Amino acid sequence: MGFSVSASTGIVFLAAFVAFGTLFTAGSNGYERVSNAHHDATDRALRQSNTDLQLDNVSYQNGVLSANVTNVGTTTLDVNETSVVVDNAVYTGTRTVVGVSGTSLWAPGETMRVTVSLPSRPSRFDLVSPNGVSVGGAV
Amino acid sequence: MASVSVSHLIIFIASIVVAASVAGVLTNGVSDVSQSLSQHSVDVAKKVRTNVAIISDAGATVYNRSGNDNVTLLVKNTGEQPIPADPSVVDVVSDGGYVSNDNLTVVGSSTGTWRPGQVARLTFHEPLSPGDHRVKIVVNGDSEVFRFHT
Repeated sequence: MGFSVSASTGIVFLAAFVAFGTLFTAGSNGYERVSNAHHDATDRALRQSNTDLQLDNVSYQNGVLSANVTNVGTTTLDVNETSVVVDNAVYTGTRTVVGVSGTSLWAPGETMRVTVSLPSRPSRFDLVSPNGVSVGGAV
Repeated sequence: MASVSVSHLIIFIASIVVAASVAGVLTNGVSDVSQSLSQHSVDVAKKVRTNVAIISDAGATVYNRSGNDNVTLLVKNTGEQPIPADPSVVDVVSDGGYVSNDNLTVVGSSTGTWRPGQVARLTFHEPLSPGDHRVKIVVNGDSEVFRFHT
């Protein structure tokens, strides 16, 4: 009788141990996964808060829209991940950082020149940073 | 005396069987909970990493650009999570009414994935009367509101 109790108790305890191990591993991994995501989201929000753009000028001449936009924030932006929006349509155009050739980095204080060939004069121009901060105005 | 031993043996076997059953139920139950917990953490992490921004200019023509009563919005993936370029992942509410005929196209890409930094064109057919309008989009729990007038 005594051995029966001991054996069955041992089995139940062993199962409880295994179950706790499984649950702890899943909980720990899940917490780490969500924690990392929150960390990335916080970094993203910080980058967004530190991003600011200034539209220096925009003009349309001879079928080409030209705009100069200065990075007046403190975040370095990726030129290729910026979006040029003209009259609610996305254009690739040509985007170059003034005074720096062959770079895709748009550092704070630098001005980016955007040119887009268009068949007619548009009415609105917008430039959107990779983190969603935008600047725009009438052409 | 032999009957006592047989009785003990039967009780021993029964107790082992009961304990094994309890152990099996316990480990199976906890295993199911662990899998749910793991899957839920994946879903929560996806939601936290998802962020979109409507980059359309309300000063430009958003409605009826081609004369077919369509609303066209440009939405940029500003999060860290690639999103399937499928209209079903975007819930659209226009002036309080759910829009089910929306169409989503990633600009300059045909891979079927809306990667971070890319812009998607969201269009839906919705006859609107002159006046102010409000469109809300929800992607993986992240919502954005865009207001414009026709």
